[in-house]
Amino acid sequence: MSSSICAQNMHFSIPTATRIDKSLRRNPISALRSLVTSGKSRRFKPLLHGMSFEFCAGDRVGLIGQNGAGKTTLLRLLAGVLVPSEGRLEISGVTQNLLNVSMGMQSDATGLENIYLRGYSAGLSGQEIKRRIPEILEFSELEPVIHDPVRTYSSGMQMRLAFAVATSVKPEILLLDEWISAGDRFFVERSKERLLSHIDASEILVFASHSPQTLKELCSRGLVLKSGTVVFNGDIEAALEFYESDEYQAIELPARGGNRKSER
Amino acid sequence: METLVDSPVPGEAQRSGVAPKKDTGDTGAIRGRPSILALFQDIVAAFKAPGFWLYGAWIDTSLRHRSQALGAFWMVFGTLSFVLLLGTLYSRVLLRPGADSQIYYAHIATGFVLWIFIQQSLQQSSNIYKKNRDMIQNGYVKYVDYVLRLFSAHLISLAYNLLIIVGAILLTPVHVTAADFALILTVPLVFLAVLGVCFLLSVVGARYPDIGELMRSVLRLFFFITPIIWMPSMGKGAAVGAFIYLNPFYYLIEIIRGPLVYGVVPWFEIGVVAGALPIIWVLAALAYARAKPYVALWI
Repeated sequence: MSSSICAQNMHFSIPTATRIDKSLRRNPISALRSLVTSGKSRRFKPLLHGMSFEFCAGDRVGLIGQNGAGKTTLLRLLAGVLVPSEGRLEISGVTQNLLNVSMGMQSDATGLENIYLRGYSAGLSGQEIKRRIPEILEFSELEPVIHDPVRTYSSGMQMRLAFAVATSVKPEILLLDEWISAGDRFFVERSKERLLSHIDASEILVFASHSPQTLKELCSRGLVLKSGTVVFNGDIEAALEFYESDEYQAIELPARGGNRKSER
Repeated sequence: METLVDSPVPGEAQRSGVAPKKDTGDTGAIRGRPSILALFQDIVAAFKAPGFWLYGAWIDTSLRHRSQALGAFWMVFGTLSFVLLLGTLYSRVLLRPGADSQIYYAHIATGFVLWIFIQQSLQQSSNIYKKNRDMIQNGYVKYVDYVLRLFSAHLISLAYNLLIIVGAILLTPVHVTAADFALILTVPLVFLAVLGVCFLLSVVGARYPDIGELMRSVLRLFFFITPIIWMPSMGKGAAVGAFIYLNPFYYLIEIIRGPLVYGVVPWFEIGVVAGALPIIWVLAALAYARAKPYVALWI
């Protein structure tokens, strides 16, 4: 089975209603009205507009762009946390996102319990988790303390555990955020090999990063974003070159680039 | 050249500068709203892969009482002391002289144990998604699982507290009667009703954070309004009837307490709960389907 991600003219907007707008205390009338009206009066702030791209099995895509360009929003859409407002986004394949490896860790629970909890949340069965435990323990080197609460671990140990569990499940589509460059040097070195094999096992990688070295190392394609629009889609070297050139800075985008065609 | 944005031609730049205003209308609404069956589909999926929420419920219960000498029995002791003290005091204050004070213990034990279960489930489900914001934002978007995790954690507590009900029934002259067979029907009814309201509140509470506070106040009030520490037979006049029969919690508690403690099958109350059940679940399904794409944005 080959996985793919296909977006066609995908828009994403968020309602601009703030906490204050919705607060009964500050604004009782509009809060009550918003209960009744079906949202026609709300305003929306576009975050991504007119995105079209297609990733196929074997693609290693780097998301490039300055802060606020929409990298994380796009990753969240791909992860299914957010849903496109308009257009189509079709994803076929088991998706795993490592946007934040230590999500859902219970600091009072033991390391072993956290392995189970994380394993279950990754969709594994109890049997499958049990089978993976020796290998997780071996990588994380936490065997002696696995029955201690995770809060007694150093942050490095917590990171190793979370990372070992997260990378023990092999997805078809892998979404990675910046975090892998975080962590101490020792961890980065140790985990690199494991991460690379994890990436190799996946069919599609989508990786958001600022680091040109890592991008060049991991990715074959680049998607350059600016203000929520895809401004470049092509080879990673060319994408990085484009991103670093004056051309990227010079692009002026309208507040909404809804009609912009962006085909490969 | 694969650049997708051509360098802006003066004329075009101007045009696109104007264009935005035209279409900032209501095009931002999220499309592809899930069908009304989304809630039920997600529940079926959750029961097919129950690992996360079942294990999570167990972990939550276990963690709360870890490294305590009495552990989970603290739940029981808290409830037990409440039942014993209040039972002793109020059986003297509220009951007419000569009335059967022993059945009062069974009355308060059953009512209070059920009340804790209902109150905790409803209260916590109104901010359940906010509590799990971290996991939701990072991609675990099986919203049903969070509610089921919470609900089953409270079921575990309820199971511990059942010891008190059993004790109260054994120690007081409450007879096991044929009416107890009604529990086979009424217990699932109560669970389904509470679970349905939990789903409804979880969604509404995600959208309107005030709901959590509202529930806190309302539930505190209803503890005293609902016949838990008092008995319907103690009141006089139509006003008391209103407090009983317009009170949804009365029905939930009575359909279990009636058969268990008083040996009667309260058909009217059972009918009310059974009639409310479809309404609750349709509302919950509607709210869930409407809200599902937005939950991650609200919290």
